[in-house]
Amino acid sequence: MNVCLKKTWDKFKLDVTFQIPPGKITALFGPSGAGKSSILRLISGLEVADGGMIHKGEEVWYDESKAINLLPQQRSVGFVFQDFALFPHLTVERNVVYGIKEKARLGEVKNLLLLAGLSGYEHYYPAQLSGGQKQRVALIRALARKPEILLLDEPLSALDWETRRQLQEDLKRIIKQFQVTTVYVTHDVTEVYKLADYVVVLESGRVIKQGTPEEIFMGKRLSTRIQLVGKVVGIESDPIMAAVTVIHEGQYFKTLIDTEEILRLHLVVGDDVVIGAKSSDVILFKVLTRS
Amino acid sequence: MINFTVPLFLTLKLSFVTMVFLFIIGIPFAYWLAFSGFRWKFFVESVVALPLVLPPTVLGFYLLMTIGGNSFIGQWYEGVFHKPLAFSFQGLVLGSFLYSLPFAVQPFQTSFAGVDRKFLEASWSLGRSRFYTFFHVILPLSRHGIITGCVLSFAHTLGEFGVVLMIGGNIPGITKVASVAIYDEVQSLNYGIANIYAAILLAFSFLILAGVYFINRRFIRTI
Repeated sequence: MNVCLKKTWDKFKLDVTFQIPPGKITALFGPSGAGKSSILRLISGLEVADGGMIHKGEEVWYDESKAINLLPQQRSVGFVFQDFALFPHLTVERNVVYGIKEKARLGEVKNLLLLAGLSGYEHYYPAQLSGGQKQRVALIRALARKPEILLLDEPLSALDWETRRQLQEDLKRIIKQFQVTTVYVTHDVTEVYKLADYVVVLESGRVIKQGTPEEIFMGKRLSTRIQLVGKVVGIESDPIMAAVTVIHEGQYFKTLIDTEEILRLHLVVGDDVVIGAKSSDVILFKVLTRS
Repeated sequence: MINFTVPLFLTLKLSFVTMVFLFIIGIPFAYWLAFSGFRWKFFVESVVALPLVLPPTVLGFYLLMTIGGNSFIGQWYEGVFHKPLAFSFQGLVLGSFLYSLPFAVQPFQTSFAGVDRKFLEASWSLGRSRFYTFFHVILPLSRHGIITGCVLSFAHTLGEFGVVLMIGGNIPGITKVASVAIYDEVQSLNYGIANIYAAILLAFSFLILAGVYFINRRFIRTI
């Protein structure tokens, strides 16, 4: 899918061109106010751009030069909103079937609920669910209509840390099962590492980089690299430097970083982090076996 | 005894018919007012709200001028239906419709506009049309506003006097509603009968309003 969008608001200008690889999870990554959510709204048709185009293979969803602009209803999208937007007057089941138009497919809802770990909650109302459960309802509601593209607007940001960590796994599992092209808005680098196959980095309404997470965060494509997701288990800091201990699959790694960086990232014990190293920094030793 | 029930029954009939018309016409009208970007909308809104501030006699007077036997509409109506529109039940329904319009349309409009836009966007992005979204999202989420609008317009018609007197007169069984009957009885110094009408209207109006507040509180709690 190729996206080229231009739009000017009162105090903000968006001008982006990027691609969304089919069947993959693409992260739109950047600080707040970079224009990430606006891009999702433009792709879904909830807002109309001033110029540009959205081509999905042969299909044209939007093309300013040809005066084509499909309504949100005509674009096959599944949108998971930041605060979920579950219909408060409908039960979990009714929320999930809302977008299903074919009567024959209504039976699939049971499987969807099972997939999302929501069996037994069919007749609950959104107000009776936890944040994590609401998030999963929103996800399967969006997937239930079998969209060609799934759009997630910071789907985990409204949740607490523990739920977020657990849901990252669920999200990836469910999305991969559907093999749906996904665009995932986040400002959390750990989420990018855990979920994304492709990253588009945005800043002030512009794309500054795009590529695989490794290309983006390691500076270049590397044939060998260390890249592990771990959890911070200890931080010892003085005013200048801090020693951060990270555990990954039972192995401890200790590294030094600037204390300033710790404060900037609000890094605390329990946070998920990525440990990365360029291949040139990796030393190999041959393990000698006793003969 | 007949004398009692006829005006009371007529009042209820008028209120009910008016409410039904206001529901059928008021809902699409309120939807348009809530979501249209029409630049002269404020003008339409002011016209709708006029009965709130206008003396009923003013509305009644102009209505009489519009639908009376000498008017174009009055003559057209008489030509088609072979009876006058003024001083008829149909005329009363028209007058009550206009007189109670803001009491129905404003609560409808406010509750439609109050539905969080994210629910509408969620519905559209799930492939549902604006029409479907209206019936499955906007209407259910506005139900307390709709109940309020219906009941207020019913109750307001119940207490209508000025407009009715101007365009309906007091023809027993046709246009003589309870409020006009009270006036008539007082004019004839029949305070006892007037009191019975008044007490019934008072009790009825109170019960209706109490019912609305009760139902709305329950709905607000469950959503």
